[in-house]
Amino acid sequence: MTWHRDVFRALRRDPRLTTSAGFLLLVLLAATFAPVIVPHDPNAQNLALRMRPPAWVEGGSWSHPLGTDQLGRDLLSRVVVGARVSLLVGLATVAVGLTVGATLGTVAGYVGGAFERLVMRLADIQLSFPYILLTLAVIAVFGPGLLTVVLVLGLASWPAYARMARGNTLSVKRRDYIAAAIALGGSGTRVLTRHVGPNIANALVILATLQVSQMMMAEAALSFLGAGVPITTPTWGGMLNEGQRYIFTAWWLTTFPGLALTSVVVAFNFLGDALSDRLG
Amino acid sequence: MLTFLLGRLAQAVPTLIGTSVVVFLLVHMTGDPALLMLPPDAPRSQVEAFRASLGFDRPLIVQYGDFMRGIARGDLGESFRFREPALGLVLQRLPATVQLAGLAVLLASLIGIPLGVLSATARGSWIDAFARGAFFLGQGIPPFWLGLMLMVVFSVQLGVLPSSGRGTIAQLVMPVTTLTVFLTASLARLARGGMIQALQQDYVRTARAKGLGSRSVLFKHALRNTLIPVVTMIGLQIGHLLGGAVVTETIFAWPGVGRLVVDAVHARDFPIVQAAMLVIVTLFIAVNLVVDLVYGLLDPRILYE
Repeated sequence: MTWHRDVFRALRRDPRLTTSAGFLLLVLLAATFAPVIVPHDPNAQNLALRMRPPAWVEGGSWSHPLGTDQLGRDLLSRVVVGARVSLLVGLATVAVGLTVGATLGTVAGYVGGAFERLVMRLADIQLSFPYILLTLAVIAVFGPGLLTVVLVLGLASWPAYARMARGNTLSVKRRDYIAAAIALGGSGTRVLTRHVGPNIANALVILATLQVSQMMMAEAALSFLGAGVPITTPTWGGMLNEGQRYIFTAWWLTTFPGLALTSVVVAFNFLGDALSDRLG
Repeated sequence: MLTFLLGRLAQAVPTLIGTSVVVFLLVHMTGDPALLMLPPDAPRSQVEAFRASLGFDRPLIVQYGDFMRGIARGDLGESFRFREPALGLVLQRLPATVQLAGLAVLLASLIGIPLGVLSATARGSWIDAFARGAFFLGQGIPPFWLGLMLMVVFSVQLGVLPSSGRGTIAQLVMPVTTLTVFLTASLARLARGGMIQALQQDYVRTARAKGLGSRSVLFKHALRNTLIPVVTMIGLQIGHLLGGAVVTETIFAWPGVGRLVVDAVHARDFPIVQAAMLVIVTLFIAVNLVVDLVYGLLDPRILYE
C-alpha cells in the first residue's frame, strides 16, 4: 500500500475533494497559461482609461471586465497573472519547509538522543519567533525578491513539519515491521526511506496542503507591506498595497485581488481538511 | 509548583540566548553592516570611519559580547532615524500593540470557545453545519484583506467608522475585528474538535450514568479537558497575532510596534528592528510561561510530571 494510491483513491471518492482539487487545477492551468489567455498585457498602461470600474457598474465596459487601475492597466489580466507568484511561492515554500522539516524530524525521531534534543530545541526556539517579523528583518537585510521570499518563508516553516514527522516516527518506530526490516539487515537510510517514510507520509501531506494556504497568505502580507516580491511583478499582495491608496475612489482595486486570494486559500484548506478526514 | 516554575524559566533562557544570536547575526549576515547602513555611493574613507566609530572592525564575538552587555543594561543602540534609544522607542509603542492583541485574544476566547462548544454539542444539526462553514471562512479570509474590506464598507460606503488612528473606541473596532476573526475561527474549530472527543470519553459516560445533569457533565468534565489544547493554541497564537498586528497596524495607521518595524525596515533602521524583535520574543515567552501556569490550574497532574 503506497501513500499516493491512498491520495488518489480519496480524491475520487469525496465530492469535497474533487471540487476543491478541480478548482485548484483550473487556477493552476490559468496561472500557467496566463500570458496566453489574459485579454490585455498586465503591465500595459493606458492613461486615457484610468480607474474604470468593473463592466457591470456604470462607466465600465466589457473590454475591461473588472475595471482598470490608477495607470489604466487591466485588472482582470493582473489578477490572473498574480496567481502565478501566489501559487509558485505557496508550493515552493512548502517544498522547502517540508524537505528540511520532515528530514530533520524523521531522523531526530529515529535516532533519538542528543540529535533529537537539539533539533526539537531549535524548533521550539524558532516557533517563538513571529515569522512575519523574522521575514521582514531578513528581507530588510537582503532586499526583496522572489527567491528570498521563498527561502525565508520555507525555512521559517520547517518546525511544524519536524514536530509532526518526529512524533509520527516515534510511534511508527515501535511497530513490528520496523524491527523486522532492521533484523533483515536494512541499513538506517533504507529503513527510513522505505519503511518509516511511507508510513508517516499521509499526515505530512495533509499538513503540507494546509500550509500552502498559510504560505500564500504570508507572501501576500509581505508583498502588501512592500517587502515581498518587487512591485514590477503583479502579485495579489502588491495589488492590494497599491489599491489601498485609492480605497476611497476605486473599491474594485482592493476587492478582486483579495477575492482571488481568499478563494484559493479556502480551496486549499478545503482540500487539506477533506484529505485529513480521509487519510488522517 | 515552585520547581515547575523554575524549570520553565530555565527552559526560556536558551530561547532568549538563541534570539539574541539571531537578532545580532541578522545585521552581520551580509558581512558588513556599515555597507548596509550607509548609502551605496558613500566614499570608501567614510565607510571606514563609520565602521570604526561603531566598532564593526572588531572580531564578531567581541561585538556580540558588547551587544549582550548592552542588552543587560537595557541599551539596544540608537535609532539611526530618530537619534533616540531604540528600546525606548519600541517600549513607547508597545502599549498600543498590546491593547490590540490583548483585546483580540480576549474576544476570540469569549466568542470562539463557546461557539466551538455549542457546535460540538449540536453536532450534525444545521447549527453545527452553519458554524463549521463560518469557522472555515474565518480561517480562509486573509486578515489584512478583511481589514481592507471592512474599510471599504464601513469607512467608504457607510462612513460610520474612522479608517485610521488611535484614541477613540470607534477607531478600535475595525483593527480589533481584523485581528480577531482568524483566531476566533481557529479556537472555535479546536474547541469543537476537543469537545467532540471529550464527549466520547469514558469519564463523561460515567458522569452521565451517575445521573449528573447535562450542564454539569458538559462544563465540569468535558470542557475542562478540552481547554488544555485550546489554551496551548492561544499561547502559540500570540506570536502569530503579533505578526498579524504588523499588517493590521499598517492598514489602519495604528501607532504600535508593528508599524514602527515596517517603517524601520523600509528605512533600514536596524537598531529598531533588533529592539522590536527582542521585545516581542520576550513578551511571547512571558505569555507562554503564564500559559504553562494556567495548565497547572486546569490539570494539576501536569505540575507533578
